[in-house]
Amino acid sequence: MQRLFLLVALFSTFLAGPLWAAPSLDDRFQLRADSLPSGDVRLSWAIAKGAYLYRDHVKVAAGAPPRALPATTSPGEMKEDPGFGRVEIWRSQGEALVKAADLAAAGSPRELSVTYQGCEEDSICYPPVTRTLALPLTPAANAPLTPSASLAPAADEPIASAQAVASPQIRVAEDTSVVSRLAARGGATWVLLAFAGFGLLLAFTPCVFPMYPILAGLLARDGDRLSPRRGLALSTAYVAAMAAAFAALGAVAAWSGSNLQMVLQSPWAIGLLSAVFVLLALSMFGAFELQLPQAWLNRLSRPVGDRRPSVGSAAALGFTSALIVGPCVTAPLAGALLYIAQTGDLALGAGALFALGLGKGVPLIAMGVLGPRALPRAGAWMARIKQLFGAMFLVAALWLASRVLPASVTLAMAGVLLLGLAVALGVFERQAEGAGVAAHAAKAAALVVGLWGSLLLIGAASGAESPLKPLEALAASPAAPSEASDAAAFVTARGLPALEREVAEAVSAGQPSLVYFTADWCLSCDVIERRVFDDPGVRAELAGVRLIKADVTANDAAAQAMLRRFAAAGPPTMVFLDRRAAEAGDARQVGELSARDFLESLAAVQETRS
Amino acid sequence: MESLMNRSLVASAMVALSLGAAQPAAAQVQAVTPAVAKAVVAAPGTSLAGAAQGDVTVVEYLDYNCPYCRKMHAEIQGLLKADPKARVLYKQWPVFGPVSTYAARAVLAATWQGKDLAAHDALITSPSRLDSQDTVRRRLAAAGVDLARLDRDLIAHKAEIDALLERSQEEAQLLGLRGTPALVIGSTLVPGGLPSAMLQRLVAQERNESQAPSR
Repeated sequence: MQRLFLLVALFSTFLAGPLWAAPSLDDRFQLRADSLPSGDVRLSWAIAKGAYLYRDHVKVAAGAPPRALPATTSPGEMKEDPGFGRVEIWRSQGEALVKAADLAAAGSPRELSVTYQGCEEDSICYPPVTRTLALPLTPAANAPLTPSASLAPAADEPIASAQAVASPQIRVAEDTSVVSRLAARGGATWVLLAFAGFGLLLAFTPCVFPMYPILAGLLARDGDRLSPRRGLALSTAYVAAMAAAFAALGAVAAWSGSNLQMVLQSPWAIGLLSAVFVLLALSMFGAFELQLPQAWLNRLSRPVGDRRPSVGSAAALGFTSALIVGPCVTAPLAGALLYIAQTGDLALGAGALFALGLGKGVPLIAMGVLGPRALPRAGAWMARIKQLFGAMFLVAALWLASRVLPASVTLAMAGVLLLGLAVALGVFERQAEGAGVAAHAAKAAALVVGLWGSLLLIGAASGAESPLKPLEALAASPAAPSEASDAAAFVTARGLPALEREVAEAVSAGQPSLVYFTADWCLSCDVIERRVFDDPGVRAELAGVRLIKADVTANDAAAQAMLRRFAAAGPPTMVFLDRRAAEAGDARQVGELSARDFLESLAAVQETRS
Repeated sequence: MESLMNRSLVASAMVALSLGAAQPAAAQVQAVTPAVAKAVVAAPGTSLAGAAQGDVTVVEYLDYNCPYCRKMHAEIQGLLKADPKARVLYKQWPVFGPVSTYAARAVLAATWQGKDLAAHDALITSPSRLDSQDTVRRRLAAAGVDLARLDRDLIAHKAEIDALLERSQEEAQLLGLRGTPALVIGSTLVPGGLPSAMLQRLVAQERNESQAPSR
């Protein structure tokens, strides 16, 4: 009995490797073979945790007697063994590529024998395994291998192989979701509190900005009748519905594995909401009264509890606007999605997203409560305020539409809008006698707005696209080439093979690489491009880094494959790979970030070069 | 017999332990019957390290290029130092290709000049990979092995050396070994390495049980 305990202790502590009832070698080293379109044969091993293969023990041979075929193997990691020296090993995965030309030179053999050898960390070393593959492989998928693993004595002739680089062995850093980490620390309450906090931090990002005019417009519609209490009720309803939309969106997206954000960014959905904003704007301008039916208005004068229709409409507006504007992909959102996908715990994941939405809405609620106090009561001012919100609605409409409209059209419309705003601000009105400083300033502002609007129209007519540089196209053309060369030089990949190829090239060039998931419909990506990639300090550091844009605009199978490969929730996500294509831990950036955050992550992969 | 069977069961791991299912587990460990355990130690063909008149024999299957076999060397030395009645039988089971095979043959061939243990120690303590026959020979020469004699014995005793290696290979398969190192202590099989302290305890237990009257 004593012996029994001894052995149990012994097996459970010292021997991490396979025991008597150990899994077969196929479970430790799973070989797959693919036939590539080029005719090359790609061998890839999935290596179990704790096990490793020796890179230079991989041998490929064909014919009888077997003759070695050259194979290019993916780089591994250097293992330092005090009593043994440095050896290059593969952990988790490895790849070898046999070129079509070499197969042809070997007389297009019908069979390929692949030999490989590995060990268990701190345990045992296995004899070489030899497997025979029948050629040609079915190009469609991973050809099943003939199960002929044998404890073959190693081939007598040393087989030369392995010098260069084949496909990269991209290692995505393992990331336990932020939700699981928080849940482990303090339970569900802690998760919800933390996400509400994250939400508050994210409340002032472009993803939330559209919410402010929407809610402000909603509140302003009430005009004089708006009390702090009613403001609270309306804004709370709006925010709660918005948070619920986030939760539902996240839950459905994570659950179904598809990106609903993409669907909601379709031109017709955007067009519809744009139209709604235009209607709201027109009602603000008094083109027609979006007055509630008289019966409802009567009810509105009753106590709060009875104001359901308006509160309900606030909720409806909150829900739909959240769906359309979309929860931008941020680190907490990605974390919650990852958590749901990993654990299937829909409740806590969705709860976290709801808390995130509530946090984002705190400033909105504050606006709802404080707004009524801040709003001037006088009638004449109220008309101006309404016009202003009308203009804001038009801006929101245009901003939404800009995602589906050509840039120059957007620019022209912005020009018209600004001119209209200038008129509304009274640019053509007579300055009253003895007007105060404020009136003069307002007039000057109106003039500036009008002038800029004109510039935008001129810019649009001359083919410019940026509302901040409307005369770019008219400016001296010599500036243009330098501008172009200044832009960070990204290559764009629209599928996993292209993406892997780019990473492989970076590895063979000894460069770290940045894989930046982006999409045309990604709001935060525009911000990142201006704030990060246009930053001179960032540009200086980008030299020597392979910049790869993973474009997931299409959101098709190819885009999904790229996202899955890197365990990314969506754009914007930045994955920093070191020169061996291993992701640096904690370096990943999801959502908007500052140039400084970016440089810190970049440093993580540059430091690991050794 | 029954106690041997039970010990083998234990060694076959915790699966049987938790299930208490003697039959299927017994089927798993058929390889380590007492007869096999005995055969493994009997007629070694090479010298034994440690006490010549030792009572418990530890058998180690090894390859001179296997990093964990190298690590086990110190643990084995620890056992021999702590337990004056233990002895070790090295079984060469080369799994790392031609150079490993050559190293194993050379150590076995050194038996005829009485230098097999010296040869073993020289190769197992190599600070780097044995990457060629020359590396092997340099280390052997430094340990006092007569290389000219070695070359003659490698040819003259080729059949015996082949037979020893073949036998180790067969034993490994019979025991169901999956790689090197592997240890057999009595009828207990340990796939993989083991720290010296554990080794000592296993040897002590084996000694107690073999001295107890057989049931």
